[in-house]
Amino acid sequence: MFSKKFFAISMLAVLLIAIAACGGPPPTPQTITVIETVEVIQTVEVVKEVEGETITVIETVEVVVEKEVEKIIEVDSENPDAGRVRLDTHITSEPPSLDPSLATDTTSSFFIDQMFMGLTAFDEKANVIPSLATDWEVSEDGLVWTFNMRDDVQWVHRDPSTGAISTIRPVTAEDVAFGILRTLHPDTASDYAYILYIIAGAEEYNTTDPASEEFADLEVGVEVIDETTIQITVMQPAAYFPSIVGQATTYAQPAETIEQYGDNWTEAGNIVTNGPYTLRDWRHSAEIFIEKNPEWIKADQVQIEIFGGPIIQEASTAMAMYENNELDTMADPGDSPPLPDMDRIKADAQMSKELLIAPRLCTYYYGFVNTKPPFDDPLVRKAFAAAMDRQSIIDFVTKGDQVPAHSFTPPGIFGNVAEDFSIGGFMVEDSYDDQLAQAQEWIAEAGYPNGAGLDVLLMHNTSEAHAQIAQAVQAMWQEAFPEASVNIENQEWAVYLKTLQPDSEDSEKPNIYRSGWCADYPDANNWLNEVFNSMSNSNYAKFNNPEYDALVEEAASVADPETRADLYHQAEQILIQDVTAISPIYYYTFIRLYKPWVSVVINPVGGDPVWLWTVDAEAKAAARGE
Amino acid sequence: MAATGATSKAIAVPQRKERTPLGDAIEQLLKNRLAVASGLFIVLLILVAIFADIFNAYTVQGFDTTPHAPYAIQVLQDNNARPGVTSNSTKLDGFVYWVGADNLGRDLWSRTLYGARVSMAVAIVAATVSMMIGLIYGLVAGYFGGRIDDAMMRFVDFLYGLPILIVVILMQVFFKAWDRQEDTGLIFGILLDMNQAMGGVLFVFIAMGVLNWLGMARIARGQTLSIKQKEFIEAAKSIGVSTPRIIFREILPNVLGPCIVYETLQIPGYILTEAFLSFIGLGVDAPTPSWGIMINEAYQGLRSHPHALLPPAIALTMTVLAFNFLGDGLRDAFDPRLRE
Repeated sequence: MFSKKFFAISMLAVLLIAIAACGGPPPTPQTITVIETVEVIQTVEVVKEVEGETITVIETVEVVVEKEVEKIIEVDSENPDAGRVRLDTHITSEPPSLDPSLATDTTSSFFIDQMFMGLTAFDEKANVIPSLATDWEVSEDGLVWTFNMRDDVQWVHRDPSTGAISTIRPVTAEDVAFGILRTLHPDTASDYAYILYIIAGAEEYNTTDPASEEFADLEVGVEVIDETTIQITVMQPAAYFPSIVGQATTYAQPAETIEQYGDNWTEAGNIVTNGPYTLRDWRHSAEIFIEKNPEWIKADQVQIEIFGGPIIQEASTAMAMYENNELDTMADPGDSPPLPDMDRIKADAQMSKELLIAPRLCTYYYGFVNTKPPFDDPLVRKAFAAAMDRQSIIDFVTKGDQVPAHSFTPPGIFGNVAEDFSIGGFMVEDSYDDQLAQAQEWIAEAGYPNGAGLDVLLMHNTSEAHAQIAQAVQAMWQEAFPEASVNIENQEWAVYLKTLQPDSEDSEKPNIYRSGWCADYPDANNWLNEVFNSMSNSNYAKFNNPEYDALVEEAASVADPETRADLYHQAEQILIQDVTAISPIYYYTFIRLYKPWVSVVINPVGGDPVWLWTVDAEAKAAARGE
Repeated sequence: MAATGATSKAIAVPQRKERTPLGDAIEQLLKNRLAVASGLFIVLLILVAIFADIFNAYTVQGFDTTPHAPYAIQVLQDNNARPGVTSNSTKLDGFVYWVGADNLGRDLWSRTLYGARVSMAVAIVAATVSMMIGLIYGLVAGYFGGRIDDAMMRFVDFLYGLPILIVVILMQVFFKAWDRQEDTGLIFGILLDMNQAMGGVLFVFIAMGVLNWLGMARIARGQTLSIKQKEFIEAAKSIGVSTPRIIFREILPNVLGPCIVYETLQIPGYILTEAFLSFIGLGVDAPTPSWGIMINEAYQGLRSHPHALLPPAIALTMTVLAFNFLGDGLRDAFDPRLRE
């Protein structure tokens, strides 16, 4: 008996010790030792000789000496950012590049716009506003633009080991010139360099072999006048030029950092930025965080100190986290709420208030490969464009209050014709039955009554939303042309782009492709000229019309807004009404969810200005039960 | 031959009926209730797949769906209709969605039935192709032995090194690109037409069948190696039976048992591969339904419309389980050591 009891007690004792050990010591604040250079005032005695006499005077002088001091900073190891205002979002996909010269996708652009400043920027109405530049003027012939810049914007660098953000030097006109030339340099291989071809000598510079002799003699029309003045010469008068210098491809870039780190200069710890935020952490394919730049010109207006979150590719996963209060937004740089959840969101008392739907400067369209039979016949193209019930697609498939489109350029862009239903009106009749009858008439006229003899391939890039729209449209076409055969295929984005390239073989191409275009800057030049000019790389339709080319090129070179609007009207008339090279489907809307404790400002062009957003930290903590 | 025939007749006279390995196995199988139920389920599924045109909800409820196939008809207003909801369109006035509609307003019942067509076709075609190639290959390698066997089996080892799924994906990509060519020649043209008629899955079958015979070849070879040592083979050889006849009449029936078991257990893998390929967009072309595509579409909206996931998921699960139970039953039946 005794031994059993003893055994039990000793076991209990061991157990208690084990439990105590598990508890461990209470968390102590972690300390970091930092070596800082400080200015110290020292008192030194100096021996002086006065007037050659040997009288020794001892004087006490205060001297400023630099001294290295060890400083101990206490960091709460459990949560080093306790008390800082934080917005938790998610990111759709790993950004391919945070380099302003190279970024082409919306995720990359979003972060670049938070971290860098252009000469100009866009406000929430898509107007051009001063940013790095304070003001600008153009010469009388419209060819020479002079930008005066602020002198108080600093390059900053965040030290990853301490988290300290320190200034390096002011941003100068040299940095802007460097950025533009770096984008244009053939070795940089920037996909968006063509946006800058309006600058004198830019196209030649961008397309000449840098190893050749003549390359060294090439001149680009970018001239640094002084530290804060830059002059840019353009090829032809372009009223939209101030919006070009708001593009990421023209942003100021830190030459010395790029030289030091090469391609890795955008990594956290290397990168040097000048915008409201700087890169805090970028764990590839896992998460990205940016942090407020306390040295920024309007830092006192910036409330959110840390912004970012995990990279989540599946919108439904992000949605579940949003509903669980783990994320504050379902918006850029992350996914919009998933389509299948839209009905539930609209019906939900709380989430319907969090839903934000706003017009967006993008157009969703189906393009016809104009050179590939049977779509080389405008009547076939018109028939297929008419046989789409756009309102039903919006009401029952996309569910985001989009607007049925009948022109390529959406409302809100200079030069759009969205109010004029004489262009593309046959695509958006009040009654779909009228459209259907018209489509059947056209297809019969083209020699394919009821669609007999048509075997058509519709292709889209792999995405559930595109697949839904494609199937809805396929059924509509099958209804309109019962004897035609309509097939759908999808390809991964990179393969898809390769298939659609204008110089790929026509036999590799589908007859109809899905695409979309979003404004880089709010001018029809960015749409009608940069997409459907016969020379454009984005002209997947292979639409080639000399009259059209002449119109959009003329519109790019005149300054008078009325003349330009008229030219774009004529161009749109050809593209949509006369030959129907493409079939616009809808003008996009932003479909986003923001928690009630987040208040936002949304920019239709460029990344949203997170520095103007605010978070009610108390409400957020309360909702999360912290 | 006449003499041997006479003797065997004389022996076969006793009142006990003749027992063959296959007969024994079937008798044994019929005692396994789960396997029998699974077999019946599979037969039912095949019938459903064949007669999907009759059993789909539109035909049963008396609606004409032309020009669409019953699986392609969509009423956008009825998107995500819950089970039992009546259609509110003029075209399908009074139509009831028994198990609901998907996010384009397509009847889930009809789509699941047509999905069975794809899954069953994949199972049968891929299994047949792989069994035929694998059996013959294994029989030949095992029977001749020696250098022929070495060479043939090293080739199998080599093919084993290829990641099959990636090869299937590559073949799919290749065939789909090929499909877009205008001039494909007569034979390929016919193949491509068949492929289109089957909703783009013909090449999935071919790719899977052509690449999945390796395990079958090994099993057939191993069985052949042991059986060719038996006395009755020597007897056949000694009386001058031709080699093909020995392989196909004497060895094949004895090898068949384990091979059928193996193939039955492989079938769920084929069905799941097809579902997976469709899930990632390389299987059947829209709007042809397959359970994989339906599950993919439904799971995106799982939180809002869980009902859409149930029909294809239940069908897929039950089919895969049925083939597994049937395979287990067959294995027990063919293996005398497992008999009580």
